Amino acid sequence: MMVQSGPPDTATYYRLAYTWVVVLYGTYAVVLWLRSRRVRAQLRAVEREEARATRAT
Amino acid sequence: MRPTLLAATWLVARKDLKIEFRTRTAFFAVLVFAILGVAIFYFAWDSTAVAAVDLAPGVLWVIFIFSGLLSLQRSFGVEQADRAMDGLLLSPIDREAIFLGKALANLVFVAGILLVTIPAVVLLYNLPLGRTLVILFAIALLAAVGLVAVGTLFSAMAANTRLAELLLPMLSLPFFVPVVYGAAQATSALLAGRPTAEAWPFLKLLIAFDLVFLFACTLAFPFTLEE
Amino acid sequence: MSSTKRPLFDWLFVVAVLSLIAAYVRAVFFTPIEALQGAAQKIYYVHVSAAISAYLALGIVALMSIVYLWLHDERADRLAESAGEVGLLFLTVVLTTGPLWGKPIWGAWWTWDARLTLTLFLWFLTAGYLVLRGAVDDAAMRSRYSAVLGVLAALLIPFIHLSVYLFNTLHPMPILLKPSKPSMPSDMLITFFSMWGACTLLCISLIGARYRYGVDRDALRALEGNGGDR
Repeated sequence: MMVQSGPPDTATYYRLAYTWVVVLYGTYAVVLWLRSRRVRAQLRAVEREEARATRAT
Repeated sequence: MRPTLLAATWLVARKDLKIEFRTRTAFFAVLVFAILGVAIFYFAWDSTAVAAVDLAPGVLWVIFIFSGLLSLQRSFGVEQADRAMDGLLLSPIDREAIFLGKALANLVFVAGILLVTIPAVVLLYNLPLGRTLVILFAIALLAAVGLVAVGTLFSAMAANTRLAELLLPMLSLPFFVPVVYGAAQATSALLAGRPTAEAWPFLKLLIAFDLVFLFACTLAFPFTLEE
Repeated sequence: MSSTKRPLFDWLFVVAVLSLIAAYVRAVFFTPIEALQGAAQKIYYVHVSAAISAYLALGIVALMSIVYLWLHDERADRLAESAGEVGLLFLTVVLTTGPLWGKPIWGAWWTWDARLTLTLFLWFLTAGYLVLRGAVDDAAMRSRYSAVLGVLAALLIPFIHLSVYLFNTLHPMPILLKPSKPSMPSDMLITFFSMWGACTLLCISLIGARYRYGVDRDALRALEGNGGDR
């Protein structure tokens, strides 16, 4: 008859998994935000150039 | 008069095969690669642990995939020179016929490679002759149809991209998996002398794949061309 | 483009993050540890939620690919691209948490069971989809090619499923190794549903954010002729 001890200690796997999932989601969100920031800055720069060009003509 | 789909397909296929036959370099290059691969695999495994007859189907199907990919690489490269594709598109044949013609030419090419590679495998891995050869050829031809259906479409697309040589294998390999799985399991069941009923589900998988993707890729090809 | 004025991460994203935090707190602190599997069973909550979201995202890719081929609306193509990227993220979560769950529970990092194998192939196909998009310079050709790949990939899925099914009937996994579908007690069920809900909100809001980024990037490309990153 098997002695009933507590549940197996598999905590390391679960902590690693939960941390890793947050790291994945978080990294994607951060990188997306950085990409967006760069593109919007470039957009503003180009729009400023166009405004200047049309004012000059 | 506008040629029928069948006639146009044959025209395109014949054109491609004529070009191929004139130089023959590509064919020999792929052939040498295939046989070399079959030989190299022999050294990659411990012959005391695994019997040759068990390893042979795996080797055949892996080499089948890679030499198939090499064969496909050249198929649309032919049209890149002098924008020959435009000439094809202007001619009064259905777009679908262009695809089917190229696929047929690829099929003949791959079949030619198999004609030499399969006997090479039988020879180098000491497989029994006769019935084995027939079974292997028949299943390989079925597998080649699936390979060529998907591969011709993707090679047409890849030829217009920056990473053509990388893209063709990357896109095609997931699609080759049901083909190879069906072919490999059917082959090993039949070669081991097990009842045909065991091989039948895998043959069905292979045939279903061929039919579905031949149809789908023929329909999809015009979408890859400009309006 | 008015999108430049709108924030990248909108209110839906904030709600999603808050609900993910809440679901995490519930899973970590307020959900009992399962008797047979130990704490690792909790990985199930994040693993399955991510899988469902991944399938949702890829369903959008397939659907938008058909819509694009039919209507040639660039918005459909942009939505497909956004859903593809987010889908790859969730697929990666599934494929990495799966082994972390499998090793302590089944004793094996990987099994070729139906779900994991299918997910692996979806990962390859989605990665191929994104690489294809990156390799085509002409915008119209890029949209056309990706849409064709999207539809063909959707067509492939039943064949992969059939192959795996045949494989598993040939090589049945020992019943001892495979955890039976847990008949979860109600508090675990609530944890699962809260995680699932949070994950779905996160998936949708990320696709929306990525879409807005796509709008900006396309506007930049149009102004510059060929500028901006992918």
